[in-house]
Amino acid sequence: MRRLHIITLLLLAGCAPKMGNPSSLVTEERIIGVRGDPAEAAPGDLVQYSSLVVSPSGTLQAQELSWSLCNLRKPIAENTPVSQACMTEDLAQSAQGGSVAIEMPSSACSNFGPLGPPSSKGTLRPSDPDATGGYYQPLRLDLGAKQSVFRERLSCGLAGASLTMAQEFRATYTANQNPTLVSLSALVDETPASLDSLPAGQRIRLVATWSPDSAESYPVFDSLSQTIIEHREALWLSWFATAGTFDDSLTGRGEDDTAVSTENTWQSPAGADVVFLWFVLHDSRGGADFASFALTIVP
Amino acid sequence: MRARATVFALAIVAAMPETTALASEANETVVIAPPAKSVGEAGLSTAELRQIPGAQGDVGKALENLPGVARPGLAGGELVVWGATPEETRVVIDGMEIPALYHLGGLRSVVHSGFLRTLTLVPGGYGPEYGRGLGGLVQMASRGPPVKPYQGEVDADVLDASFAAGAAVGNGGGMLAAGRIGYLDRIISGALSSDARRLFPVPRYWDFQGKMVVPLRGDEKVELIFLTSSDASSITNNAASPSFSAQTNRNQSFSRLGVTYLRAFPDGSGASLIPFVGWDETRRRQVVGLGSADESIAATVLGLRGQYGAPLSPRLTLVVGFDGLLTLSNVQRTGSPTLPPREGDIVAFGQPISGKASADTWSAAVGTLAPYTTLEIVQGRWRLLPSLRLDGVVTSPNRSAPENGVTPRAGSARMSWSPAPRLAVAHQARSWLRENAAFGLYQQAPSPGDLSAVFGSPTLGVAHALHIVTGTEIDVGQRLTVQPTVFYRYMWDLVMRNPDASPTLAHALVQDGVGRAFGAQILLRFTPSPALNGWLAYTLSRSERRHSSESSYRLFDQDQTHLVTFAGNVSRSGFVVGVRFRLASGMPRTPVIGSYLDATTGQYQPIFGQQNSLRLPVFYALDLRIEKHFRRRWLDIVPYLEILNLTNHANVEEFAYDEQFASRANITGLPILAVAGLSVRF
Repeated sequence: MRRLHIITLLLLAGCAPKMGNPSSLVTEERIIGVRGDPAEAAPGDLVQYSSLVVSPSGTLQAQELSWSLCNLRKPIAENTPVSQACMTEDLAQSAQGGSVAIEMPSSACSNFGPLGPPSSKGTLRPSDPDATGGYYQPLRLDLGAKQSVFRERLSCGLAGASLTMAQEFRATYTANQNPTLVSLSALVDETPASLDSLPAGQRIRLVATWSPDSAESYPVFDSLSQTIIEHREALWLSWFATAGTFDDSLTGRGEDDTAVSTENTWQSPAGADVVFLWFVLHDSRGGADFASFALTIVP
Repeated sequence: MRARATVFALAIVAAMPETTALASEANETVVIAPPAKSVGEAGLSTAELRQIPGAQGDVGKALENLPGVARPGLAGGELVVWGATPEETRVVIDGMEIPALYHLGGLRSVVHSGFLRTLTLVPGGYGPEYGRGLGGLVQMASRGPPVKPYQGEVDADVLDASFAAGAAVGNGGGMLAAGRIGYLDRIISGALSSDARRLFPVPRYWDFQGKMVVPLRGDEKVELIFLTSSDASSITNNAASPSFSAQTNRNQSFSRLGVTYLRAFPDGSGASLIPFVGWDETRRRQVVGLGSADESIAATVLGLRGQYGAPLSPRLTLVVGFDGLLTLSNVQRTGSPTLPPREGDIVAFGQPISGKASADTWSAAVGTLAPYTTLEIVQGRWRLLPSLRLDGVVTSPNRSAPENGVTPRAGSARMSWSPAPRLAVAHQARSWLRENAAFGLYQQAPSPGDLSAVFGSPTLGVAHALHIVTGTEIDVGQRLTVQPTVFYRYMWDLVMRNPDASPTLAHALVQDGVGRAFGAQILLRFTPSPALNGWLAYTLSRSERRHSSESSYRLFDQDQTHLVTFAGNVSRSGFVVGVRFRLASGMPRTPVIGSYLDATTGQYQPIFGQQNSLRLPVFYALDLRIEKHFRRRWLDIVPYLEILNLTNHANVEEFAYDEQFASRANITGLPILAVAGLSVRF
């Protein structure tokens, strides 16, 4: 009994109850993926964007999808990837459609990069990089009332580095490339199964594979030690389906894990149906790839 | 003597012989609140506090039940007094400032109750002997040596085991030692599932206190005191995706070594001198998905305080003194500037962090030297204590701008003098009615951790506060005392995050914040019979902050409008049965009014509504404590049982959101819970 109480004492904190639909279940029209090509661009570069907009009836072309560059800097106090104002302010539309081309602003590296914007009130604080050393230009996507943000990785210089270190960094750094999805396979009771004929009401193991070069190595400048440290991209997959439930909405591999696949368990729906399944592969430098499948569920 | 024991605690380590440890402490029972009290001070004894259900005999834990003290949140261990942040309330023991009252998680205080003679919470309006804080003051004074050759206690419960023991040596000398070691983490490792171990941090802690008293002459003695405390907690949650994995490691420790010299002179004057040295260390590593934050602070603390008090005439007493503290800190920090969050940050429970990664390493010296003087004037039924404290503050970070290649490092130094006049007035209007009032200015130097050119600002200066407190104490017969108190605190030059989207370099923090806290509290203490006693406390308050004098006020993150505590004990036939009822308003939260997908990471982010415009539901809980005293010759064996949340009410401790921030649910706190323990006293 006492043992039980001790457990209870500790269980009071930090346990978020399960609620609502998981993000992996597609019940309405949503944006679930964006890919920029190239995955890393310099100011003035033209970037070709493609979106993945889905609904319970499958993938949509989303001609009404609106794309807007957000040039509002994020206050330090905000704990979000982009300024809250990017989501609430009226922004000038940059493009419309499911696939668009947008030119990166010439001021991107001073606005969101290590240079810091010009100002008459003194030297302004440059943007902070993320853990991969990256700086990003935000874009807002509007699909009716649904909003999404994509951050295009910028090719900017280094902050706080000596000239020697900056030269060494430039010599070793390769701009990010989008990862590449290769395949999706299904296993039922550890037996390979066809995506055209999956059993209803079963726990099905889904394995997604990406190309070996998807997880790239890249240097990160450590301003504390004034050294360059080699890192490797982490990769993770967002899973979506119009029916059934996944054990996890996201699965993936960490920086130190060299495996080229990730798996998830999907509880297929009880009745026969066609289920649309999508997954979006992300790398830790902002690259993405996505794929769509129509699964046939049989009794 | 009683006349001197005014409503104002002149000093816990004072020059006044009757308020110092010079008088024999040998016969002391544990009396927490000395006869001298500040306005708003509850004046409850340690004996009363140790029997409060839920405190497990820990006086420091029991402090959370006093009027004006907010109920701690989910993290625990945060002392919020009259709407001030925990960092704004100072904790001192025998005149030495220590960094925290509680171990991590707030399960225990860092000083054993058996080591303490008094523990006093002064929520505001305290005298000039102390400063460096905008909020309240927790004063602890260690016990003297026992009368008996030896005396002590050994305690154990499901959380930890502890001891406190003292021995008398010679005439008036002696030694005292106490300590505690927590073993909850060891019990848990066998009792919790691996999933639960991944989710819930279990602190590992220990502490030790030692004291030696050496009488030099009849009116002179030296006390050597040593304190140390250590905490560690760790939690790792390896999610299926690296973007969801989380890890938090925290370590904190401190040590203090001090010498107290006390002397009483034949003319009624007295002097004290307390030099001390200390070491503080804090390390925190937090990884949430792709974002992380590491911070380590190692500080050496050097302190010196002295005081001399002398009666100038039967109606006048003069006290002069000084209070100095120098903190030399080395800080290293990497990761998100918003992790850990600070007061005023808008964040939803479970929200992915921004992933930004800055880095800085710096050192900073923060020194304060404050001479002060107080004149105590007694005229008939009136007692006035005008005083002046002059806070000299030096801040010297070694870096004024972020590291930039091979650019030479340049530091800076700032010095300021801030006068802090204070006034306390007491009036014995009737034999059963005392009226008190206090007013004062208070200053707080910037934290060394905020003096970073990357995460803070090296140019931060002193923050200020004005306290105005007034109260009365009414004796209704001999069995009921009523203490109403009204308070107002105004704070300015508060350190807050820079709200500017394009702040200037080295100004991530600014000092434009303004705050105010005001309210009223009432304490009813009753003792219908020697075997029955209790108290009822109610606090009505509001605490607000704003980013500058031009913006509008918002609620303080830990504001609690209503606080009600009832505690009572009945003793009979060796049994002591205690009950506690608590009711507290929920703390403010910022509502989530929408969300969006961050397509770069595949995670949803919240869109927030008006800051702190939502509250957690009201908390209430009824707790019970039963203890039985078995006296066996020189032993007093006391087993006890506490049943917490007797009604099994599901109190909401936090709001949680689903992955898309589309729906909200409640995280509830303790269900009904029993905690057993045993105390053996000799």
